[in-house]
Amino acid sequence: MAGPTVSRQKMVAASRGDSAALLEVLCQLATTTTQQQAVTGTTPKNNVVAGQPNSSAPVPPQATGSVSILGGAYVVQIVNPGGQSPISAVQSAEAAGNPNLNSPVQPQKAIYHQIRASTSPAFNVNSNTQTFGGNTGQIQTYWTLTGLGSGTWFIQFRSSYDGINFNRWRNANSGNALGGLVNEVTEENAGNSEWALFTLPGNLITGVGAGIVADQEQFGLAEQVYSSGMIAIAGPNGFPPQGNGVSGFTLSDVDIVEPATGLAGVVGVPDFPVEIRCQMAIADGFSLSPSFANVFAIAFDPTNENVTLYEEPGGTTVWAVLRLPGGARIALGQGKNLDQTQIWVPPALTWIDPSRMMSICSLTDTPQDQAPVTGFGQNQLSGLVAAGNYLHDSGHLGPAGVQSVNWMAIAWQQGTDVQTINGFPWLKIQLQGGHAMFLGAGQSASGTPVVLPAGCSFDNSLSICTPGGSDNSGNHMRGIQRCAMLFSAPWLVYTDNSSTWGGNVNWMIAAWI
Amino acid sequence: MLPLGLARIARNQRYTAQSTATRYGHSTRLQISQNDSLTGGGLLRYLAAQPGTLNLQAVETILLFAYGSTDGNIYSAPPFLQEQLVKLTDAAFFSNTGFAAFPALNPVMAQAFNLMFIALANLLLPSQFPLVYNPPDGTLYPASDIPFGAPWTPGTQYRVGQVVSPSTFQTFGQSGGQGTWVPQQTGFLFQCIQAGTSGNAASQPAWPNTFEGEVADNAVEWKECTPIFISGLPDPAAPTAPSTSVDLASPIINGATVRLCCTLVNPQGEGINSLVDLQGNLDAAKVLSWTNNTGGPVDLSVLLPAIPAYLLPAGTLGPDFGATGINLYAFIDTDSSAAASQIVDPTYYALVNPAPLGSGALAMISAFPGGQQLPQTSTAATTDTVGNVDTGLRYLAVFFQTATVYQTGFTNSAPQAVNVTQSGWPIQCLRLPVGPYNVQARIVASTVAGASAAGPFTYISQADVESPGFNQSNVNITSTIISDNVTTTALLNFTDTYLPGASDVTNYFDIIQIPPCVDVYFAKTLQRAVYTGAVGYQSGHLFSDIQNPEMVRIPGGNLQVSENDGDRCVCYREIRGIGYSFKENSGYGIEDNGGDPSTWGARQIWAGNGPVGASAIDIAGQDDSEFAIWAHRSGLYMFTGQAPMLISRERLADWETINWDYGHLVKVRIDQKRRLVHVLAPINGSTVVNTRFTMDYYFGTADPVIFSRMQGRLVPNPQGRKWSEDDVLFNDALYIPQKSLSAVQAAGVDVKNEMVFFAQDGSIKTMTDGQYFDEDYDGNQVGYFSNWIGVLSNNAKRTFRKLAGARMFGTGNGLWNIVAYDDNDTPYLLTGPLSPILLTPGQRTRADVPMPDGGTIESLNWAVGMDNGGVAGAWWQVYSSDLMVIDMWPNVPG
Repeated sequence: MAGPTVSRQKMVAASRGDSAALLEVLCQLATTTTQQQAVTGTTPKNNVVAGQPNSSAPVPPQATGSVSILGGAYVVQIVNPGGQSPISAVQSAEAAGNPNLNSPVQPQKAIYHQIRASTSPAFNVNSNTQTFGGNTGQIQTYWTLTGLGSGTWFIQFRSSYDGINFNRWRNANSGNALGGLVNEVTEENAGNSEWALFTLPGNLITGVGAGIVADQEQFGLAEQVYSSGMIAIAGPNGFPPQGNGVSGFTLSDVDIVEPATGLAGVVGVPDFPVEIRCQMAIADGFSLSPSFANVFAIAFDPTNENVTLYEEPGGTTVWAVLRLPGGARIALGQGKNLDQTQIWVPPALTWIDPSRMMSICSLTDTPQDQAPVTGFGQNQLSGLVAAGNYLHDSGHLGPAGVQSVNWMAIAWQQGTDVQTINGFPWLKIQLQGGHAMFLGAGQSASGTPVVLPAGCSFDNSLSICTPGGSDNSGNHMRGIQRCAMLFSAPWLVYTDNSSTWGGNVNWMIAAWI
Repeated sequence: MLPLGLARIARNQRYTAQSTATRYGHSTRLQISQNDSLTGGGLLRYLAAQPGTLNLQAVETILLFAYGSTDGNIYSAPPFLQEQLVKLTDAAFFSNTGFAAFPALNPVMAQAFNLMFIALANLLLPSQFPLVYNPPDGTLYPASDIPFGAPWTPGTQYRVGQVVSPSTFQTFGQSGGQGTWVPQQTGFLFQCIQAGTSGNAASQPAWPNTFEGEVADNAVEWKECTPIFISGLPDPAAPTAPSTSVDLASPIINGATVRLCCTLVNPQGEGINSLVDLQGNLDAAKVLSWTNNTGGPVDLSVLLPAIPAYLLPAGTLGPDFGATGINLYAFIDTDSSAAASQIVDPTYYALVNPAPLGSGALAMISAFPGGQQLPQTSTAATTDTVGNVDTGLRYLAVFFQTATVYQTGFTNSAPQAVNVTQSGWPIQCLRLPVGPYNVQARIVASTVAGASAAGPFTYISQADVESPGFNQSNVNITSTIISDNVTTTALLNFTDTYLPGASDVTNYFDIIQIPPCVDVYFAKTLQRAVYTGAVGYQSGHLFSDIQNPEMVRIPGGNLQVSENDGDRCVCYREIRGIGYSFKENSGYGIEDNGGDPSTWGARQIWAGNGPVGASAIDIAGQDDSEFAIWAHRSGLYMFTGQAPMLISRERLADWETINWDYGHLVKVRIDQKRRLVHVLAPINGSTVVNTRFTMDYYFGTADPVIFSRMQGRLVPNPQGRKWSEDDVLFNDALYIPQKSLSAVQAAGVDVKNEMVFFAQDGSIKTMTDGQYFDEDYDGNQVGYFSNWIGVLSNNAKRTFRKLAGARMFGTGNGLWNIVAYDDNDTPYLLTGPLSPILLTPGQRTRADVPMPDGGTIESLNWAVGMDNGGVAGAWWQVYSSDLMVIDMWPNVPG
């Protein structure tokens, strides 16, 4: 681009005081300078200053995220780009038929996140916009935003590799507002477990957790709940390959790993690691073989005013009584009983009655001197009496009073909102804003679909299955290949490494809307 | 030569530098009310633009105010346009205020901030609440008013529109029935809908806690009027009328406690229920608690509350936002073991289905409620107007603003809580009480969210825009002044970042209604009105807030001066910019420390004298200074900032004729133009003012005679004061210092630099130069006896002398009696060939008047007197005189 030629004649005239010539010369100079800058790119450009944003710096791809309300706080869960959604990990593993440990793909480079909340989608100053993560952001992907106050809130987040250069603000929950601290069900991943958290009266955050855990592996708990306030059960689901017939399960337990010093010196609510044991007795009388385990737990803060604990004097049974919205009480119990013995019930809880109770059991502590078995024979509470034994290939049940039964039970007061579907009870815990948590249990033939309460779907559910019986295959089981909820039905598959057979399945499901 | 100022009798006199003369007469200028003795007057002069314009032409107004003590009416009139005389205390005044007639008073009037304040008292004891005249509407109003939500008090005159709170009598540990009524915070306020006097202390009404509930209180009728503020649908009332039916399957077993509450729903969503009162305790008005003592399981039936009419779709909120139904929530505590914290926790309450139900519907609970938890955030918007009010619990208080821009303040019972649970909502006022007749606006003050009911409270005087910057859109801030006394609803929008910078009214909690008082004064230096002799504050003064003459705060505005020392506090005045508290027998300098008046100092300056009454003092200018003159039992005093100086010692005998039992009626008024001090006083046992002592200080206020060392005798003092005792029946007077050409006045009458007198015949009069008769109410001429008697002699020899005659030099018109007096005060009329001497106007007359009988009377001293015989129009002015005497025995020892 050629600029105007600056006339030397005009320059001379200007130098002699000709103002019109001076003006013309200056205009020509200005025009020329502008055109020259355009050609050579001399337009001022921001220098890259350390510590200052640089528009050319790389920024991460947009992360995804969701927000839910739990216990008066907003829980923001960000999924880093490239990360696997933690929400459906358990069901994905189960659906694949290969129950295994969860191993989400982690990002290759640390990503820093900033979160901001505002009462207006405009995120302006007058909307009480609050930013979390400091100036540089934080690498944490799980945020609990407290103290935002009531009202409707919009939440956005953005990400950065260096804490300086961020990508664009992105709406969480597709830009939908979260209104009024409406307590709902919050899903949370805790490594090898998934949790559905909700809030009971008294701001009691309660979680239903489920996972597939290897023997001697620790079971992950959601951040808001405590192992000292946990009612849980474990049952077999899959096993490492081994070629021997088994005589039962010597271990199928949920153990709290307390330090040798016990509770001494513990500050706050005790929250010791939870170790899962699931172990089979080889029918040779002395060998043991590990198994994977399903774990199902209901956990909470045992110190909350809405929790009353009852412990069996000198025993292992524990009951926790909680109030539901509206005042109805439920009791969550767990214990271990020898076959054909009655479970312990706190005398004060006169309202606990087998007619208003659901439960699930798992056999454990089988003696190692037993004969090989085909599968589970009985594994349930009959009334308040534990019934547990194995089925032998002769078609007979094992002797009474030999096996031990781990049990987990949920009882409720008269008048509680419980519906029956296909003969199975479903306890409804109504939350706010149309949200609700359902707890149901029963025993079904393997592969028989379970009908959930209206509005629920298996996508929003956590469950456990334990063997409730066995077909008389005449074979010795080498392990339990599957005992899990697959799509809408519980499945139980015994195997002797060459053939498989099924049986009745105990199931307990937590489903929410 | 006349010994100036040394008259023994000077009656109806005036003085010049070289003469004494018959005083000028008084003309009737305003006929207020015949034979209605005017005992108080006031002057209001202001220059203001016509409302709504910048036009200053012809709007200077000079108004005179007069109080007639016979019927107790107050009048206003511009001097001197008779046709514009206005009776301010007309029927509407008494109807609106509820006041009874207040005759037989001696009010004090004072202009402050272009308002006329009137203290209604007899100059000794207060009688009525003070009044204020508002020039823009030409109306007389009660000055100040009770605060919004004032505690109910017995035996009190209430007028329509006033708002009170239930109250309790609190003694504060005092004995003898002392104490005060304090507001009781029930959450309900009541408005007077029928004026009258409240009942006695034992008969406080049973205040209804129902919407617009009414109750009678002696002659007063009250109606519930609590302001209603909402942001979303409010908490409804608790269910009522629990009843049971046996149901063995019910969770409501024997011993169970059921707690029930409700929320309101509208087409937009559902409201909330806080469950608690302002103290955080379970509110029985919102939650029904019922315990099963029937012995077995039962179903529980209850009646839901009725939706208040003002929330219905047919009301202000309309069909889109009005409440259409009620949700019932229950918390069934089967063993009644719930902790106190649990029963106020909404998460323990669950919705009873089916829902919602209708207003006042019957609901039955037979199982644990299966619905959602009681929501804690309202979704029931009540307007589609987007707001910016921050969420949280805040308090709003209403107060009134009167026609004189007085803001009433409010009490502890006034703040109303509103819980803004949702961002983006404004605050709606659904019921804004309409104030008394003199209210021109209602104001809503608010705290920020999270503040207590004690404030800080601010209000927004005008609509504004808050600019947050950062390219964010502006926030519209609404004014919280509702500029009328009609509207009952309002929509308020503000932010908590804006409120703290708005008009702070937190100290409005302290505003009191100005009690009946004796004196009101405008302290120009302080820019405050000062009330003295107020009921309950006899030992001090009540100071208004700066530039808020009706706003007095307690504590803060009360200055006690040597409290309860037995010396009554009379008034507060400023002299040369310094404030003084005048007590009956002492004076205190007030030391303003910049804080509240109650913290100021009061330092005694003198003792032994002080004004006998609030009107027995006046301040005037003299040359380049300012001085005060007041009347005390011991004499008339002048004060220029150092120490009071007695200036009436030569009139002691006359001073002692004042009836000091009614000394509080004495008024001292200074005519700055003529340099006269008028002392209006009751004398000779009169219970009303019946004379006027006039002191001429034209040449000075010094003693009239001084001792001359050179001459060795007393000689007249050219700078001395001079006196006259005038036969006029004036109760009050005031000086009009100035007027401009635009002032409204009658043609030919000049009111600038004029002294006006408030006469007992019911008229206002002025002095007319050159006129030698007074006028009665109708303007008829009335003569007065002008008399001067003095000792004549420049040489005070102590000898017996015979009087031969007098040589007089004067002028005048008509009768000029000349009388000689001997030592026994025996009069001897001097007569001559032209006797009686008649003076001719415009001529100076020199007369040698012989003593009758050839001068045979002997006397040590002779005095001469002149009078006009009391003939209307007859006057004289004497320049000099001399007595012709014959010495008889020289050098008689004296």
